[in-house]
Amino acid sequence: MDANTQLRDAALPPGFQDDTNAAAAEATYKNPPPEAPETIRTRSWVIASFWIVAIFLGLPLWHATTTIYRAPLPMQEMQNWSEGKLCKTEFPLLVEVEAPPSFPDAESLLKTVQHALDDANDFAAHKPHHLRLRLAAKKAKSATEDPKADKDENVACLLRLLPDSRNGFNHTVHSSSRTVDIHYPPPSSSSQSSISAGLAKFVAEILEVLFWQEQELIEHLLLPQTSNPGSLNALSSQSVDESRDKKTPPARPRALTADINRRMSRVVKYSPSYHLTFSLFTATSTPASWDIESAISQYLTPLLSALSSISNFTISTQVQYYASISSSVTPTYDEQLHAWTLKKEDLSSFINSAEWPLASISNDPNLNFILYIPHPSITPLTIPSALHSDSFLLPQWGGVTILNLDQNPAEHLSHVTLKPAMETFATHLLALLGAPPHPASLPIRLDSLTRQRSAEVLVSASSTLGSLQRLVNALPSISIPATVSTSVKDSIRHLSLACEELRKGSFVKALEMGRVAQEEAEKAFFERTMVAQVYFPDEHKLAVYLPLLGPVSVPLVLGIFREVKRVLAERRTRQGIS
Amino acid sequence: MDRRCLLVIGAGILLRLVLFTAFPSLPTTLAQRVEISTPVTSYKRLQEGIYLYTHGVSPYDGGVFHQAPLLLSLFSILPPSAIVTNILYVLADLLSAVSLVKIASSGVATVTPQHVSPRKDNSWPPWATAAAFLFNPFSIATCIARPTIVFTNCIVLHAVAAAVQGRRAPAFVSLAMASYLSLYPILLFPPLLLLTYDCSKTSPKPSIQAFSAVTTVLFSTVLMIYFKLSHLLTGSWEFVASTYGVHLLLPDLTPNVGLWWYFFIEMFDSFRAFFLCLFQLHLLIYVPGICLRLRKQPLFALITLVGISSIFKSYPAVGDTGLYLSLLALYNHVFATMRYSFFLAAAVLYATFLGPAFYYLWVYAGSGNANFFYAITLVWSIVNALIVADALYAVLRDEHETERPELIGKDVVQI
Repeated sequence: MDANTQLRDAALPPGFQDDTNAAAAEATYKNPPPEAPETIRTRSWVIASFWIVAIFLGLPLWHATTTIYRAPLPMQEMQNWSEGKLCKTEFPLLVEVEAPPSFPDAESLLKTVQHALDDANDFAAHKPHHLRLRLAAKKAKSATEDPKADKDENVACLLRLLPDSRNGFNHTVHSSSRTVDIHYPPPSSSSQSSISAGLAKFVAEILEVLFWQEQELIEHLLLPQTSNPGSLNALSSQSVDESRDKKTPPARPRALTADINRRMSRVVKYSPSYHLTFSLFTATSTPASWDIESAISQYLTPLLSALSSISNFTISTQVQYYASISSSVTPTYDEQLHAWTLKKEDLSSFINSAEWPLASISNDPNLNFILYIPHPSITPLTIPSALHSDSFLLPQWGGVTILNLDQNPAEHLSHVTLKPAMETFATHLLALLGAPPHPASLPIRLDSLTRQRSAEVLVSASSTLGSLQRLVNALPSISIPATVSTSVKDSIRHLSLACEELRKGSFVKALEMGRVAQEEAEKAFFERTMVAQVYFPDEHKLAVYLPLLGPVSVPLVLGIFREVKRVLAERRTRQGIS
Repeated sequence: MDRRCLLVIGAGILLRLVLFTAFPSLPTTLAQRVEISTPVTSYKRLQEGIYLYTHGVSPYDGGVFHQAPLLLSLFSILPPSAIVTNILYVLADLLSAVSLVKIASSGVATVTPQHVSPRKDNSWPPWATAAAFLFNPFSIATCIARPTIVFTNCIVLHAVAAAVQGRRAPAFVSLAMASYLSLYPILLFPPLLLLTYDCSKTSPKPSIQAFSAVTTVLFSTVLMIYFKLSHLLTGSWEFVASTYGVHLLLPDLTPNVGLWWYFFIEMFDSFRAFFLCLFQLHLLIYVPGICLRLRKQPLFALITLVGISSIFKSYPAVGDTGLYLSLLALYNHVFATMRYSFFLAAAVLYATFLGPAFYYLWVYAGSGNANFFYAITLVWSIVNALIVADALYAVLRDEHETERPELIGKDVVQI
């Protein structure tokens, strides 16, 4: 026994030490006869057939069914819009000046005024407004009576120069047309030029006054867009407000910004249609009815139809008896005024939202107008600290008017009784919609509202596009359906149309286009199917594939592995033979 | 056909007629079982379709009816009486039994041109095969519940019977009809082609390529004629989406004994399309492999594919398993080499009895949930898969023993 066998013997367990045992095992163990080549060929074909199906059918199907469809989006264009590169928002305002035939040199007057205005504009670098003056044609005289004709010509304002010897320079604003009368002392032959200079200065001032509020507001709206495009990440005007708060340039007077902020905070979010709810809440059982239909048609419908180019309105009304104000509000009696008074703090909780049925079923934003008739025991009820003693406005929600009736109220409120209330509601409505409180001319205010809203929808639509563009860039795994692509293209098309209309000065059309652009942009942004896969990281995909495909692929992989091994072994033996 | 065959067939038919007449509520009860009726075969849905069709409304409106239009025309020309319908279903089973007798008497199961089983003397006589079909509880329940799978099964068996006699045209016209009725029999085309080729008695024999080319043309022409007929009957191509579309895309997730419904209830939407393709491909992937491996016994390749599709198709029912088990009876001579016969028989019984119980607990008693029934369908599918695998093993071993007779009786070890 040499050292080798000794070692082996030591390693083997007892019973295996006997050499004869091993020899016997070797004798019974016989190598299987080699497989027939035909069997081997069949096996190769079987394995190949599985792999052929898997590769030529499985892989293409896998690719086709799991590729995320991303419709092409005009990304650069979207970014440009959101950065305000593509559209320099301009509001060219055409002002017509109508001079009496006796007026000596109207042309030169206009030139002077235009110069003065342009100089003022140069100071404030990028004001979107451009006032342009034009001498009215003679036929325009008749057009002033017809506001529609006004609109067609897109005249923002008509100045009528009227000689008035009584009291120097002054002006009157017509409340129902775009006409502003300018009275000037009739020139005496000696001081011709000085009158002309004084008048030019006065006209320029008037125009500044007429449009400064709107100008400030629109500048305000456009500000975040032009100053810092990167921070634009939300669509609502609310966040535009916020970002604007931070970026107010120091040059701007604080009081003005605060005023604009206050006004903007009241305004409801723009929508192409609103629902108005007029409610009569009475603390007792009287009055039992009100003449709301004729009151609305008489006092409100003209305003609503004037507003129809901006938004549409639907109206519902209701009457509620024994409606008590919130228990937290307790009016106090004021001896001096001989009236019950509400403090300013009470107003915010005046609405008894727990008991008053004010929920709207409409899809459109709802504006509530409440006519409240207090209980006789606390009549008259006033709000001495407020601007108006009997009404107040709830920002973004609606308006409330308190109607104090005498001790024996009528069963029915006639529309004459309702008139002051309806007028207050009209004022509230304009304030809620965002119309500037000045000047007195309603058409000019509505025009101003139109411009303001177009600026708003343009900003909103382009920032939505920008957000979508950043979202798509940030999340490469989301799918982009074709509908999103068409919506985006539609939105961009309407944006540029709106921009063009703005440049032409037809603001109603611009608003219309901008509205479509905004709707399409939001439709694209809020597409539901887009975000379905956002929360699906790649490791989750492994968890989806592996439980089924893992076990299935084991025999396939092993099969091919064995085949490869066999082929290699075969080649080696063949080489060994040769 | 000898007297014993006639006796067995007569007894089977009598049993069905007795069940139909003695228990009038039995057909309705069984027709509502999800294990027997699926959305694509249900008799109730067929009646709905017939009602709509005879009232001039498109039967595919409403998304309830998912069966082929020719079935509609068959049932709308029949008098609308339960007895006539029942007799039609019994006749279908009769034809199936006759086809099985024909297949068994041809002896293709034991002797093919390339292969002669060493156990051919152990095989059962034809009447026993017919009995295995006629007295198979799955087949009986399926016949009584009257799903349209009965006709598909009957036509498949008829196609195989024609194939073993080498009659190509009847075989492939029938297979086209079966594929037209319920889509998945189209997977049987390759093995049936091989079977017909092996059994054809024309001399000289054409080459396999020429033979398959002619057969493919024949098969697709017949299929197209069926489609055109259906188009003429319903006036639109709507039926394609509501019949084959349902088989392929699985819009109806009614529970059944298969593996699909639960899987696709749970599936993430974005992966649904992929896994639908995967599941369909899974059925397809076996066809070439099995046909290649069992080239010597194409009938068994066909039977194995019937078994595989009865497990993995989108809307399986016990009727599919019934067909597979009846066909498997043709190979009873290799049962001796099956390794798990006892376990499999016990497991089939276990799943058969627990399935309805768990479904009851889930749907009616409310004390169980969907997982109960799903678990039992998993067991059922595993058992069926094991039967397919074990039968395949037995047949391959039988084949191996003809090549290596010295290994008869030795254990097989995987190396």
